[in-house]
Amino acid sequence: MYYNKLSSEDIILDEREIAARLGVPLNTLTGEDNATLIGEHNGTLVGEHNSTLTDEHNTALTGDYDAALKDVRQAAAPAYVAERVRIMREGNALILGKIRVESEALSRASSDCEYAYLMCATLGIEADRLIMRRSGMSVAEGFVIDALSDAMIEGVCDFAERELCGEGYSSIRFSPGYGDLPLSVGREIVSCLNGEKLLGVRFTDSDMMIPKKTVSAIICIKTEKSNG
Amino acid sequence: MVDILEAIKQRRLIFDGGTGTVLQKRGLLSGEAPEVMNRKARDTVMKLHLEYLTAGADIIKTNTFGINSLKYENVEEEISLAIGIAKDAVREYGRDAYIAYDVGPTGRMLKPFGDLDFEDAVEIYARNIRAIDGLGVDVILIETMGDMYETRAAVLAARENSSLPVFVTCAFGTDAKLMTGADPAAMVAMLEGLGVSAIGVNCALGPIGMMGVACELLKYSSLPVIVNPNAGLPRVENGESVYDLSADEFAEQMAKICSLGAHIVGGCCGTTPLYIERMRDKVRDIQYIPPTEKSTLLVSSYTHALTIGDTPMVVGERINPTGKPRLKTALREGDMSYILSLAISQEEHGAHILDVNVGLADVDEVSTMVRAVKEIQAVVDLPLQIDTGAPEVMAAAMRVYCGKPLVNSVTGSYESMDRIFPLVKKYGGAVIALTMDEGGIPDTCEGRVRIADRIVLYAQKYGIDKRELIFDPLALTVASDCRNARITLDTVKALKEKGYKCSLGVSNVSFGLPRRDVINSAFYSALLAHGLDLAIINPESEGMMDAYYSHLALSGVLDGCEAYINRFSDIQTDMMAKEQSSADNVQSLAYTIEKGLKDRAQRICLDMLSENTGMDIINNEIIPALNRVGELYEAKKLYLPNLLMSAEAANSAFTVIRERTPKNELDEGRRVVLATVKGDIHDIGKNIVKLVFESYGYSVTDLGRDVDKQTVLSALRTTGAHVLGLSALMTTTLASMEETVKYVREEMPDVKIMVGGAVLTRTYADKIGADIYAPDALSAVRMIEELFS
Repeated sequence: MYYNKLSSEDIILDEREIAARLGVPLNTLTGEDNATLIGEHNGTLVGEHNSTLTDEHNTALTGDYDAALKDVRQAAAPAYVAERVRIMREGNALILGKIRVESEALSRASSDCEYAYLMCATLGIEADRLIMRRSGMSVAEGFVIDALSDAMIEGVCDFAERELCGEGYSSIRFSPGYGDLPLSVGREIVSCLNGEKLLGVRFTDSDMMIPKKTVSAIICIKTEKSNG
Repeated sequence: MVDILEAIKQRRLIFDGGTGTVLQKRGLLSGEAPEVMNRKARDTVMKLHLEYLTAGADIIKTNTFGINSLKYENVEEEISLAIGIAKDAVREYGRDAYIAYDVGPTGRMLKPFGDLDFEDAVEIYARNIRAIDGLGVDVILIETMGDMYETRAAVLAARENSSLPVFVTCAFGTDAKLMTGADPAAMVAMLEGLGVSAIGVNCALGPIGMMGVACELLKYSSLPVIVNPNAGLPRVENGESVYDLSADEFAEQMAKICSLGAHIVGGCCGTTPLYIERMRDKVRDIQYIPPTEKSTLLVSSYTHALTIGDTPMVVGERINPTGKPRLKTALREGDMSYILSLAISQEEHGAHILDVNVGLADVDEVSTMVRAVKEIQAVVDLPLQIDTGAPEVMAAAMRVYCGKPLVNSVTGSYESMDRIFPLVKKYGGAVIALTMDEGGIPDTCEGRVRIADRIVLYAQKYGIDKRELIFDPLALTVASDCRNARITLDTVKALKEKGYKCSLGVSNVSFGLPRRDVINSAFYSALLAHGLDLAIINPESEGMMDAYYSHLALSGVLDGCEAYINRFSDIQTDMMAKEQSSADNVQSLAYTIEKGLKDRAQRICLDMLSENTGMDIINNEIIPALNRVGELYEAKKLYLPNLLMSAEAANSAFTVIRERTPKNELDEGRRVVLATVKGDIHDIGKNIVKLVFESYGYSVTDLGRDVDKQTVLSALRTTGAHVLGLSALMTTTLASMEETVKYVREEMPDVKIMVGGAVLTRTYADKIGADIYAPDALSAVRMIEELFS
């Protein structure tokens, strides 16, 4: 069982992820075509910008992204829980610790894997509060904060995956709702990781997770660090 | 047997320890709820109770933590069974012991973050509490609570359905906060207000981790403090949770906690009868200090508490429709985002508390107040001052307020006090008491002080201590009587000398005078010098805040000078921004909209209105600009964030046009109703659609998220809208969208229904009978534009 609270400053956001969530081309963020990872060291989203936008638009927007990312980092209290389980197969079903899953997609993805991690990660309720607050003031700001929070929780999952599987790992992360993996599996993952108590995760009647920036996943391990 | 509340005045009481973690070692399967053991293995549960009693526990918890109507159908039977086991154990033990009916969280998140309604949560707990009636337990223990709002629901249910004392313990984390952010002082403020009998902390941490929280609770609470920690921190060994403190180490730490002054101690996860026995032996000789009355007055928000009386504080007055046309419109239209923006802006300008008044002749004050309180408290971390003349509005707002509010106000008339004090007693709150009565406002200092004294005495009859009262000596304008300000100042001084706290709506002093800002800030400075604690003012008024920060710097308040310096480092940036804005007039409104510059768009539009009609500005500047932005967006030369910023700029221009144009001159016929369907709590996409429609001049009624079909239908009827937009983000809520479409279709066949959301496809939209499938906000508005033309 792993339970880790992270500093949001340590989370690296993938610019491709940010660009996708914001619905903007990558070069409006980086000013170049090569994607780079941005993290605590440069802490900023923009380099030189050259794009089809006018300068004024660029300044307004990129300024917003920087400030917004700072706010997201401040509000987020990223944490995750995970448990390593042996993958057992029983007909069409996979047995992952206490969970039994029927999913072709997951079966296929995990065909050459012996172990998996059940994982749940969250940014905490303050991120929800920040999104709600900004959306109340300005839809544009709310949209940007929401998009950056999405990129941030992805970053947390990547961080967890790296920490669990080690550098140079190879694994496939699968979340309930992807392909034919039922959304309801999320409840089981969270429950067997004690995510309600450790992370404060709750479910709505329609299987949504609260806080909203919460991800549950099955990480199928292909190769990992030797001491894992 | 001595009543438990009497007992705690005399001696330290010992709670039992863990239930679930012990039962897991005695046959409870992992994944099973501990309460299933009541049926499966009654003797095991009873034996555990007995072991705890023998180990020295004065209070045992019934094995009922997870029983509620969300998880069990026969709540009453399950609870009665568990209480029966506890009673049998006490009988067999043969000596006096207390039984605590134990109840934990529902496992659901309350609105607005989750989907459980506050009153539904109250009802879930109420059913449990009704079930224990007459079964002979001594106290209700609400424990392991991680959210302040859910805790409030549980306590209200307990208080409304039982006369038993209520103990509450919360699960604070390593950051000394609850999962949803509340700190110990906030918890104390709210729970004391609600009339619980003991407050504490349990679970999540071991005794060492709990010391800080225990100290905070002891510092603020006038009630007994409970500390029930885990046996240290858990780790997993061979698939089982193991805690890192031995029984002796646990006892050692608990002794320290008792030395700090904890009144009731026991254990939680990982602790066993052995831990409780060792603890009892270890703490036996530590001197017991009964709880002491604290003199501080706390008010609180969702997350933190403020002490009134130390440093003067600013109560933001802007959420009050008197003389504010824009707010009146927002209240009539249920436009909460404008009210939120007032709240947030006042917070950013340094307000410590926000006054909320939504009283307007043609608005249902109860529902509007409740909605405003719920929306503001979700996102603004300031205590609220509920301001209404109607007791039923006060009651409804205090009920749903997540914390301990200020209550504005009571007067010295017995009628007023008989209406307001019972609410304060029930829900908790600090009261603004006006020094006036049936006879009006006395025109002498002595007369006003006399009323204050009378209010103090009468409040005591309701069990409300004078520390909960803040007196407003009232200010009348000096334009009508030159003595008015003098009387108010003298009254503040006299009240402060008597140890009372004071609040005042400052600006009344200048009614009828020119340059009211000048005299208001001078008056405020004088009031502060006389010791005024709270001033109800506009925190966005520079003069008033200058007076406030100057006072901080001059009065010897710790860090006051620093606060003053910080204020002016901020203001310099503001001034630079203002200088920059003088270059505005070279730009056109269309330009600012295209560039998404919302403040400039508003200023330019305001200037233009002196020479142009609203309709001209809309047709010649706003709409063409939006169309150009739309084209650039479709050509992928601009992107969604740009589009949204342009739409907001257009909206800010629309706002000033609406404010200054007679209603009949604008085309207000284009109405749209928007909602995220029942079960779905995502709303970013719907908000974007709303924004874009508004920027094109539509009048949009936004029903919010998780909206049922009846609400949708009745909104269509009342607004007369021809277009309904529905959003759903999750596959699990598509069924709910289909149902809503069908329902509206049957009742109002002429309404055009458009649908959108991440999981929607054109095929699905067709299948459920929607008229329009909108893949994004811009195409939605384009299609509707076509429809209207």
